[in-house]
Amino acid sequence: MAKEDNFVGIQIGTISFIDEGLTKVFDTIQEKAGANAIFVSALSWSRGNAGRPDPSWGYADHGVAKEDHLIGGAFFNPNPEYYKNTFLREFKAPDKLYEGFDALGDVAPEAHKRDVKLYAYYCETAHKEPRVPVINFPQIAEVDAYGRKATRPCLLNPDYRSWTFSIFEDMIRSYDMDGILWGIERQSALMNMIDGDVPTCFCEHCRTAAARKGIDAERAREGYIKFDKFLQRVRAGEIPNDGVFVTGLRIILDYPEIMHWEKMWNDAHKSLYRELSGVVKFMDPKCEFGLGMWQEINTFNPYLRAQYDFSELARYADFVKPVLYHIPAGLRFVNFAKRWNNTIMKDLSLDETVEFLKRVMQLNEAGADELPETGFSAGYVQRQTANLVNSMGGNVPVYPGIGVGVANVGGKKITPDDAKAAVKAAYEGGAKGIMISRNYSETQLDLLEAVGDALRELGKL
Amino acid sequence: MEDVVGIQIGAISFIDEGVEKTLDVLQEKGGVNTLFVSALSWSRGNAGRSCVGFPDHGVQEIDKFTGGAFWNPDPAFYGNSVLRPAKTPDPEYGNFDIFRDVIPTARKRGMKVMPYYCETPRSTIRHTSIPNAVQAAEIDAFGRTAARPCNNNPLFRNWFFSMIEDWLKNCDADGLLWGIEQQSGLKGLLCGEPATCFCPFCCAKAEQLGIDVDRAREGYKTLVNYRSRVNAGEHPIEGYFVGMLHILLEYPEIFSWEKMWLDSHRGFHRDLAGLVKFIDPDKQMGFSIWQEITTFSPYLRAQYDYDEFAEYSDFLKPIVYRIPAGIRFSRYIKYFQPLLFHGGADEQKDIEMEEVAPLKDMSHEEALNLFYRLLKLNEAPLDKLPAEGFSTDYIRNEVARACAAVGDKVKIYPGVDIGVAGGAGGKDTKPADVQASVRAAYDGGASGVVLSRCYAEIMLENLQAAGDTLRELGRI
Repeated sequence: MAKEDNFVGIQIGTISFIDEGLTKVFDTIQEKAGANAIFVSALSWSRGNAGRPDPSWGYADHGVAKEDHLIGGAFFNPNPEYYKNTFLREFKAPDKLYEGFDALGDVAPEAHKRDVKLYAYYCETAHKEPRVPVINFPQIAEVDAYGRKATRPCLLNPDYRSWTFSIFEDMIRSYDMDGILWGIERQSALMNMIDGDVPTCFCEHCRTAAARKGIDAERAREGYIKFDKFLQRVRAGEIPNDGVFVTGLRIILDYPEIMHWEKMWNDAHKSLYRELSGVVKFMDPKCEFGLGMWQEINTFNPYLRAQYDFSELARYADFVKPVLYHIPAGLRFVNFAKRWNNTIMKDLSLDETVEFLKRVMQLNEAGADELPETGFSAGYVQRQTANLVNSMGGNVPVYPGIGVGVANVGGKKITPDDAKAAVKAAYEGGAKGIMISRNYSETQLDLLEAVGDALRELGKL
Repeated sequence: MEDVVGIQIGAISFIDEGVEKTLDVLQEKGGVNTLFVSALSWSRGNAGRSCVGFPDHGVQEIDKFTGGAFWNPDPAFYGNSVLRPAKTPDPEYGNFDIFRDVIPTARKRGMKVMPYYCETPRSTIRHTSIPNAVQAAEIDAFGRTAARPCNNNPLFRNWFFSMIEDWLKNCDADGLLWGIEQQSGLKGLLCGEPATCFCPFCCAKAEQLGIDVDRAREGYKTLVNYRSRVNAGEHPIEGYFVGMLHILLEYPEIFSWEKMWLDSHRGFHRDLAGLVKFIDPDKQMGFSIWQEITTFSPYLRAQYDYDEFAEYSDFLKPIVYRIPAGIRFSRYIKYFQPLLFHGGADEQKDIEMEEVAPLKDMSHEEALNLFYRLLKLNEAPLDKLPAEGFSTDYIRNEVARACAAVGDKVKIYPGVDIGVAGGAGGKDTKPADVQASVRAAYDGGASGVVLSRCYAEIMLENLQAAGDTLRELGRI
């Protein structure tokens, strides 16, 4: 097991405990990888974080090799006492596979018996799917610039906040946990639009907040719609006379209200996890609050990287887990670049777009045609870790998320050598520990073994 | 109708060479039928003798150029203006009046005369010869008086309204060519200029628009301080581009201020157009558009849409100086590249990533290629660009872009370089270059050309080449 001053966490869905049994799972992660902390997806609608692997990704060499058709929700037993200030109360996962199992209540005793820390992990989603199938959820959903209900929860909706605060209070008060990891994986309207999504949010709560700030909501809405239609035309193949980038920039400059709306959204996002940090400390100052940082923020997207100042995380996080899945990053980065290349950077070739993004994001990786097959280098893990450590002044432990079991269909298969190199690079970059990611159910055992080997070679176990 | 074949010319040429002789040369060699005279200027490039070598005509001696008015202003037109145009103090000009002494002779020859005034984006050119002009100057985000006039300051606005009325009504000029070469605070500070304008007039306008003045000021100051740190060698962990974008996203009030400045700038141009038409609907209103807007800067190109000019212009002169563009654009890239794209390598040293080859900053060549793509340019690589200049395709495409945007409503007379000092290391313009440029302009759909930049800089063989080409094309 990891030495006391070292942190070896692993993300794990409830399904693995059900499929393999508590004892076997703990034996495996402790013996092979030396894990001393588990991050259970106690609330999730994401197959990647909580379920068995999608069949198209391939199954790991353990667990049940059968599709689980995950619906998701709470994998713990919500205590109604904590949900009196919210109309979102029925969110227990309806999946039959989980009946009778409490992801926190049943796991905590075994974890603590083994001196393994227990954290609940929840990760936001930047995408339209999966839609949260919770009764009344549409009432907290965002509204797009065209006035239509969208799918993600609105960050300024008081009922979304109340619900989230209730969940945190419930988890911390009802269970013997060591902390909560909140995964930051949302993005503001401009970036959603480049991804092909609708511009949000223009609900009554956002409009009210805008009015208080003196932002003209109608101008902002008009600007977003103009930009959305511009992107639609570009996707359809229309090339403006003045170039795609210049024409898009012209809309932004003509509607500065867009940038005000972007900041309002971004401030709301940040304020949510600042408040969550306070909620955790209100319940129990010893309970840890960690922040997961999406790879699109820390690595791929200069706009998101500019929105999120890592140095400020030190004020309200007990630890930070940057997602640094280096092998899947190859394919994912190229796919990200394609979305830009298909819209705002259409003036450039895909190769040029990738090279531009590499330069401004300070990446020293392969070219667009090679990246899916090579992935990112282990040096990337080292550099990004060091950057984050430096940004936070060394005041907050950084546990890089190491991509050991992450679906990478169409990209390079992760090998034990890759896993070992990434672990070593993380520590060389100044990490105080690591997070074995993304999900135990996806992870081949030889890769877990490789993580353990690397830690032993480093003297961390 | 005959094509417009214009030429920019300063008073010094008429003084040095004589009005009749100068007009003879312009008509016979270049086929010129329109004079764009620098009636008011503090720019040697627009109004003085050549600043980089002398051509084969005129006086071969550097003038002690101060600048100011090159005509005799009529005080009757300045009743609502604290600022009065002062005649240039330079001794060469004596009592010469560029309108009084040129228009009658030009008219006899069927030539039109319009004053050409060009704004300046730089702090280096100041209206020092005008008493009280400093009171119309911009104020930067730190509260310091800057150098350029503020577009929202009524002293400046009334002064120009008075002058234009004087030019068109009193001096009987045929129209006005206004050179658009100012830039907003953000673009200015990227060029090392002060972040302007925060004068009382701009602040009052911002308040009317609901813009938070203090936040905007703080945002610009943060950017200026960031620039200072970068120039002092500081390397942001997140990289230079992201570091700057972070400030912009944190202070969206900067975007509001930029738009307010831009709207004020464009609003002033609309006012000028209205003024010209008020005086006489037959007088022509033209705008000369800076090459940084038409060609070099994606930001400025985004700010200024050709299409919009169609609402209030009779003609446009997009500046497409292709030969000097080579050295100018290469300098432009080298100037901007460090601040925006100077990311990487040194940060890697800072964190001692020894086993990884040091990352390279975005090279000048990479920055050039990025700008080429964003601006739809297809020109030479950086090492060849100063010696080659831009291609004729550039002129053709840019003129076509302008024509497509404005349609039939506005005439496009591109500013074709036949003698523009690009600076050391650049290519000299030869007659063959001139011929190719003029042809390219017409291939792109031009309705005329403005031979640029200034007669005092132009070799006669180049003027002849322009005229020969126009004759070959049957345009004159």
